[in-house]
Amino acid sequence: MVTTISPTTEPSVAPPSTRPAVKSRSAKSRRSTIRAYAFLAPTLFFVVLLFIIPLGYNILISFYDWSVIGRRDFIWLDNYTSVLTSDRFLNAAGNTVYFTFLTVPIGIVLSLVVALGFNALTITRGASLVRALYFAPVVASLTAVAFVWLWIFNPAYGLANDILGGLGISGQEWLTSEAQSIPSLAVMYVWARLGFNVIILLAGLNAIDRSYYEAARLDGAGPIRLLWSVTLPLLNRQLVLVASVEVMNALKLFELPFVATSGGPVGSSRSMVMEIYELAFRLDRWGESAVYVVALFVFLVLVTGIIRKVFTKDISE
Amino acid sequence: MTTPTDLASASPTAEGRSTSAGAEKRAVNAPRRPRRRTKGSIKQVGLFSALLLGSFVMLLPLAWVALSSLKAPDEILQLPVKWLPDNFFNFSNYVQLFAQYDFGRYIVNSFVVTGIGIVTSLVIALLGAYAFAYFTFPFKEPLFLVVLALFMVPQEALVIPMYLMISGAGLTNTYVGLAFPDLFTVLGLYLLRQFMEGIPYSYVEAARVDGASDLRILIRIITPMVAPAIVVFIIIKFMFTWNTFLWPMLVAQNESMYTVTVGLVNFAGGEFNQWNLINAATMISMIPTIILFITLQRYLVKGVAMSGMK
Repeated sequence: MVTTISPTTEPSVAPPSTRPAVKSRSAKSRRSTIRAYAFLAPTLFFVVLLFIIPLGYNILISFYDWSVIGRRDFIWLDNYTSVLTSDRFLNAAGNTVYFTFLTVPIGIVLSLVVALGFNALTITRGASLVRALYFAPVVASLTAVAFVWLWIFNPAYGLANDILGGLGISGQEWLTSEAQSIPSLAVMYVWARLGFNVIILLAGLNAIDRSYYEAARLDGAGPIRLLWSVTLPLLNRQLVLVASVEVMNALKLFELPFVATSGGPVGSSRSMVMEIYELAFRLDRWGESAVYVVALFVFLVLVTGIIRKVFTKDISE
Repeated sequence: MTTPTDLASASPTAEGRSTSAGAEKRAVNAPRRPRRRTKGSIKQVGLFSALLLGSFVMLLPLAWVALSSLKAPDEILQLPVKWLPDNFFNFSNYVQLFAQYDFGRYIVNSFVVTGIGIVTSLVIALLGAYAFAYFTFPFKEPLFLVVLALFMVPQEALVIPMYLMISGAGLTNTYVGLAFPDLFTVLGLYLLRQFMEGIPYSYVEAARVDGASDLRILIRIITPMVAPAIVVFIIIKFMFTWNTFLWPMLVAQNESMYTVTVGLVNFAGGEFNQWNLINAATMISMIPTIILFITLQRYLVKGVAMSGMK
């Protein structure tokens, strides 16, 4: 840490002539503190402007019957009771959680398999190009991803049913079916995010010291035991990071259903953030919209907490 | 010039903090560890083939859209589905999008908004990272932890209060309003601080003893040394800001202020089922980030890897 080489260390040479020759330590460190906060001022300003104020403002709105034309009635917890018991909320929350629990485990397992594959690969020619192809979808916006797959999943002219037809499987309804809409969105999402996770996990795998494997091998560990007892525990930090980032991104699902399904059919793919948008901007019910935001944060904290617990247990065993 | 390998050499690790930082730099930048050469092994060829097959599956959706964007209106709705266009050089869909629709304008808007976001967040991050790396001050560690925790705050969820703030300030339909959530990024501060801590403190100390102001040290000494991290940050930031949709959709109410993502959704909503045009519009929205990816792929991958190595 930097504290060990703090700037309060006395200079070994004579102080510059512009400064007084004798200066108390505390005065100097006070000046250093003032300067540090001057450098930090823009950061702190934007932390307050972009995070603290919006968070506080949102909580404030959630206690009001708030309309954009100027109605501001303080109704205490009424928004919470009406929202949290509404079918609308339960449906959106259920869809979002369903989507999260589909995409996060599948995404992590798939990216782990690919990362392990690249890590075990000793052929170097062409490997970086192949790796790049996995990463390519990451650069596309989720809006573009939605259009890409909306066309692929088109029941009549799309690639998906064409390929299934070639395999002798009858065409599916994909995004236009109540049962398949969320799984279809999950396919789109896992495809879009896979490369990102592969890169993070691969960097973690590369950092594992070979000697751990050699020691375990000497103890007679097979490949599965090596994976379970050496690789995964040492990859813990990256797995937690990937899982947390994926949970956050999955919970804020918006673009994919907004573009590809409009939340349908019959509301089967309406997400929390879609409701946040609709309630405020289409229905002028800002107070209720703010309750969804609070609920989203609660979900985020809960799921991230579970992830941390699960993965920390793994390593302590 | 800076090359990706400079990422390692430009950040010599100082004594006393080499353990974690050293492992991290090595993991991201080191040339591949020497391994047993088993080039001929069948297992390896099988593994490579499997990974190659997977990469084709990953590429197929993008290729399908690219191919579809070159098809004529009647061609795209032919059954059975044709994979390849009749004419690979049929760019009429693209021409139409720029001539009859405003995609040129949307692209300019996206570049302006992205540029504002990159410049402000970079300057703020340089100043903040310098403070965290080279000063000791009260509440330093707790403050850094608070800033880091903001990593996990999904800003999209805060669009409601942020929109009320921006519309209250009369900044809807302005570039500043569009760039508002992107004016500051925690990632930049984090990446640059990590990188600055790899620079020996003696550089800063020597300059301070010589009477250089901290701002001058930051601009003249530190900024050139963290240039590789700055490149990584700019690429990642470009990608994120270019790709945002919800916020610009709310703030850009006049079509003249639409960014590419908003223009794309708006256009597709109006031209329902003109799939040749929608596919071309999707391609247009992705072209800048695809070019960025192809030319600076190594930096981009490095940036993602670095952000995961804490």
